[in-house]
Amino acid sequence: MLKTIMLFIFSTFLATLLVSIVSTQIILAEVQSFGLSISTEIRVNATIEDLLGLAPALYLLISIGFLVGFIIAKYAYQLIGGNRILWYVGVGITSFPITIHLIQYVMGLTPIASARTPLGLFLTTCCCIISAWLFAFLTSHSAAQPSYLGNNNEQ
Amino acid sequence: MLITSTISCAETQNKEYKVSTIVENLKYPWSIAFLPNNDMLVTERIGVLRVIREGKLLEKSVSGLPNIYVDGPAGLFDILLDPDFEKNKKLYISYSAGTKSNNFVSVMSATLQGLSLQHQKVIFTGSSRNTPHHHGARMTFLPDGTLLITAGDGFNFREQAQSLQSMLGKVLRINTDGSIPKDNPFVHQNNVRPEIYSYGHRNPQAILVSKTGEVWLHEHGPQGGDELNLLKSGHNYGWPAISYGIDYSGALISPFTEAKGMEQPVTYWIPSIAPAGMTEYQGDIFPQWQGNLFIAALAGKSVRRLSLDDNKVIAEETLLAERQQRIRDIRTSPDGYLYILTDSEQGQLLKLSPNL
Repeated sequence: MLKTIMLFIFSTFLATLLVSIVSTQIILAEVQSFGLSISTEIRVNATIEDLLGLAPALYLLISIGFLVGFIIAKYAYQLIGGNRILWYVGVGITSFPITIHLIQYVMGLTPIASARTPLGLFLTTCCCIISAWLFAFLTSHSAAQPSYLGNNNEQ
Repeated sequence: MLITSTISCAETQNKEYKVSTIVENLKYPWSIAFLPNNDMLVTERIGVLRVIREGKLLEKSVSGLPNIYVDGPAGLFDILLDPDFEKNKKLYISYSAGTKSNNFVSVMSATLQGLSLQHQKVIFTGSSRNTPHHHGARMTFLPDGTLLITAGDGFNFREQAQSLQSMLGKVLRINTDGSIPKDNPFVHQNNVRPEIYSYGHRNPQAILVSKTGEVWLHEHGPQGGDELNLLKSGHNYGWPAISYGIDYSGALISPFTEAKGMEQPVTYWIPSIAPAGMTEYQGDIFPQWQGNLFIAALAGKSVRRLSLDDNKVIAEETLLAERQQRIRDIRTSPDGYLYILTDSEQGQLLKLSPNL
């Protein structure tokens, strides 16, 4: 259980890191489209600045999405079966876009600027897919234990 | 507070004014207009146009408003009398029209007959958006009789503030019949909205023409970076390519605060005060405040008085902070008093008079 919690924290941290880095590059590309040039130094500083400024909000959004999604994936796999990894990848595909759309629906705005375009949402979602896949992969050994799953769906 | 190092900012200690509440129970009042017969018209964001007569809020509201999209910050916005109102009874109303997925700033002209709007005509329709946020929607007349309309960036569409093909994040200039003035700055360029007067704005919620003819505009920044700008035709005010603020998410909006070809604000506020209305004082009641700009602050829960010298802010004073009310608008009445609207479901109309 502790290992699963640690891997959950790791995967959400990784997703946050990747989404933050990708978000910064999307925003800098937008700034470049206005005719301003971005040096490597500015890019690195901006990326670090976002890791300090944006990452806490991102972590909250991603971890809530992953927590709900991973619980659903676990029980869906137990009840329905199929490929366990794909259930978790499905969480990576859906959790971030659903979170963003829920906020848009409730608040009438999309707070993560990089996710406002289809391309931006796709790229940030890819970051979540990688992280969710890694979580599924790293927990696959313990998940395969009958005592953990409580049934033989892993077989 | 990050204006310039030379500016002082202080809460008033020895008050030169007193505050009286004229009217209560206004539902999110947004703007006020003073009629020649001493009545006042007050827009309520929920889509109602109220009349205040002899200090009393009339129960009956003005009829004849258009269909208004009311949702959170979207709804009925500004009201502006025609310069020839005494003769033609004409006025202009800005509002959000459309639906949740497709809404836009609109401006309607109409004549006021008693408590009814007649001869309604939509003279301006802005670019479509799918958020109820950042409409701008303030109006003022230039000395040549053309109408300036502010349009916000729609929040989700901030990059369009830099696009001359969109009316989001712009100040637009039209004639009062809805036609485009032939001397607009981009009117002869292809694939450009001919209504555009200036661009690169976020959510400009006040615009006025000073006694000396300057056009002042203030706009909400993101987290920090609210700006006071001196507007010039055809100029780019930078949003979101340059900004002194960061996103609400904590994200960087731009690594730049200045760039070639983009105007710097006359002053800016960090943290945000959320400026939402402005007047230049030119009355006789407070001679010491002649030419000062008064700014209504929502998040700042106060009025900011800016003293200017050569179009630079040399001092800032915070008024009414002790009341802890979100201030939506501030206007100078024809007889020289300052009237203030508070932003609340139980909004108030306040009057500032000298503390004799």
